[in-house]
Amino acid sequence: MPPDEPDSHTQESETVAAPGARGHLCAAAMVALATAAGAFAGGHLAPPDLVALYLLAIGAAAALFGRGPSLLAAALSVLAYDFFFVPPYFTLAVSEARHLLTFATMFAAGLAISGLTLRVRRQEHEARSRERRTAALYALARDLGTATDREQSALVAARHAADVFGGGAAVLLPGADGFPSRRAQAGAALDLSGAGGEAARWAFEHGRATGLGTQTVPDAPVVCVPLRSGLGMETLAVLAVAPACGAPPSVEQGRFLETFARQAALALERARLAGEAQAASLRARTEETRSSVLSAVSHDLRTPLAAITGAATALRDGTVADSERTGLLEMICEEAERLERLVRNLLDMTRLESGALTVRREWVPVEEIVGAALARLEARLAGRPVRTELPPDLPLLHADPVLLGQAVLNLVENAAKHTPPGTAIDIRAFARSDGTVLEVADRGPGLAPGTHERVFEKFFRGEPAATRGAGLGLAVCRGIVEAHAGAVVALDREGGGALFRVTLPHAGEAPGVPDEAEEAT
Amino acid sequence: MTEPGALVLVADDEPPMRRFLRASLAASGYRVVEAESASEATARIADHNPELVLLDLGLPDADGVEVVRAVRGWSRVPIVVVSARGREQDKVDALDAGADDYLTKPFGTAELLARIRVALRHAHEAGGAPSAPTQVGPLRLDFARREVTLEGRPVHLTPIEYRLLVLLVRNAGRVLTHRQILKEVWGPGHAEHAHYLRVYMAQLRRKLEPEPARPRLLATEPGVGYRLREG
Repeated sequence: MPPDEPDSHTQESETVAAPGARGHLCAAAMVALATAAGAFAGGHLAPPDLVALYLLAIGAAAALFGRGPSLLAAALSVLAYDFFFVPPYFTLAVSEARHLLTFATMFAAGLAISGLTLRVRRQEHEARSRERRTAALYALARDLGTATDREQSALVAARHAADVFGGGAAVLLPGADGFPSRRAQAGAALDLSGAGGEAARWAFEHGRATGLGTQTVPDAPVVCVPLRSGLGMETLAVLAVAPACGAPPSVEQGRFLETFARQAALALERARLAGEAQAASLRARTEETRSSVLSAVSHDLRTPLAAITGAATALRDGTVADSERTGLLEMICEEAERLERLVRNLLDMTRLESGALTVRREWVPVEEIVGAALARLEARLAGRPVRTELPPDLPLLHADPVLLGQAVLNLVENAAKHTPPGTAIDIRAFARSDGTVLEVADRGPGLAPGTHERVFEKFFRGEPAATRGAGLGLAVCRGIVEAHAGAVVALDREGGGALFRVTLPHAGEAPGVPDEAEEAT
Repeated sequence: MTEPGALVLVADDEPPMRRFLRASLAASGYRVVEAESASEATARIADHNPELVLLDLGLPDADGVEVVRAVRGWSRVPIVVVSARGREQDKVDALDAGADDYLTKPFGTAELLARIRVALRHAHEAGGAPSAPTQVGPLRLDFARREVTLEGRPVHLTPIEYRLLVLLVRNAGRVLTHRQILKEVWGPGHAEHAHYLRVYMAQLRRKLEPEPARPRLLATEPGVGYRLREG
């Protein structure tokens, strides 16, 4: 909808012609020049030649300064011709009636020339501005095509509007309160307080252009055009433009603004639909993950519970042979431990995912972290050689000892779970220029092809038949390592088996420990 | 070292936990008083004057650390706090407030009885540091001669390493927080310099442990401190 613009034609002509007073003065000067030339040529020129000279001046005035000055030039030409070149000289009196005809012809010819010249000029101007607008729309379409979301589309539209209309422009997207409050702005500063803001809100609510040059809130410093969806009646955003000169836009500019707005609206709508489609597919995937997680967790929780319940009731009811009692009691303890591990990993995972995990970094030797993890696994590692290779000159790590200990524990526990009892687990650490590397390696069956990355996924299990675990240990490990800005990868170990490599970046220079001599008492 | 018939106060709001503790303690010859809340626990400690308190840090009516602080105002009764994994800071706070040791849920009877035995023993020893030579596993410490031997072989320690080891041996079997050790060995001004302690602990392990990454004696209690294991 174009802004209402009652006197747009004068506006448009003025953009074609030079501003008033100066144009009129110049037109008068041209007539004077023509008169001077006629007087200088003296008797050499016949009256028709003189008329041609004046017509030239009128034409020039029309071409250069537009309608008003050319009309003035025509009138002045008639008067000057009469005054200087028609006897009796130096009076406006006319002795012969044929001169009156000459005057009328001269004035009419002047009018005709000025009209034609103006039309040509206007057409040329229109052609040029059409071309400019087409180019601007093309550029807008091109840039909008590369924008991926609403915010980006809004910014692109604002930038182009500011370029085209020469001032400041903003696209206002509805905020959480439903009002057009989120801004994507470009070009000169935009006053959207007071009347400007009111115009934007009105345009958003009523879906009509408001502000500068319209009948609604005309005292606003901006013109606000709604960006409306092509499908429904919904207003997606508001385009606010503050023209450079502060003058209301012309009809043609208004129409252009409308086209501009339509194109921007299309892009916003497309971005919104794409966003909605993405959100829907994400929801579907989350739902899928959630149900698979639920089934995995409930299975893992129920299995040990079923075993414990079964064994405990059998013992209570005295339905087992005495020789079986110790075995059942052992099993109850083992299953309870399994349950504890599962709950621990689930809680760790939840804390990692909810962002509730706080990393309390301290300077700590690698050896202490590995030692604490191995101590907690003592029972599970019984009868299994664990070789550690930790150079005494390793730099201190700047890490959360409890969390990182848990990550190492999960790696060792994973190795113990997936390798035959009695096979060795090797733990090795070394310093590199970019950080400290810690490796946990085994001589088990190794990783199945294509699973090196997937083993870190939640609830991923190598071979369900071979192991019993929730598939959380490695996911928790990766979460903890990444919370330390580190990385953990699974590799094939040379000579067979799996190798998990944790890399922790250097976190600056470890603080010193005072020399013993100073401390000794 | 066990005192048969020693009176233990069990403060826990979960009936199954109290039941398990009552059964285990009774089977080992302890007498048991129970409390379900922090206020009840404080009152029972004053009334019954137990020889040891098992205090759950998750009591509904008060912060366990506050209970420890309140009791320490008028009693030196050994307190073993009980809490879940992942609440290391709670344990550290309770220990720094004067608790003697901690147990992490879930725990078995062996661990429970070991903690109680150690706490009771240290309570009886309190007052004077033993000056007689002390043997912990393969380690022997002669305080009078400032001599450390490991399986009969002398070990040379720096002054700080020696002070650190003496502190751990005097508290054998009991956890010590980083802060407690730093204050004792380096002085009150160094309570925040946990990395001093970690570096010296690593040195000590290299001198005393055949496999420093799998310590037998000098155990790390992650997030809390250290404990000299008795075997």
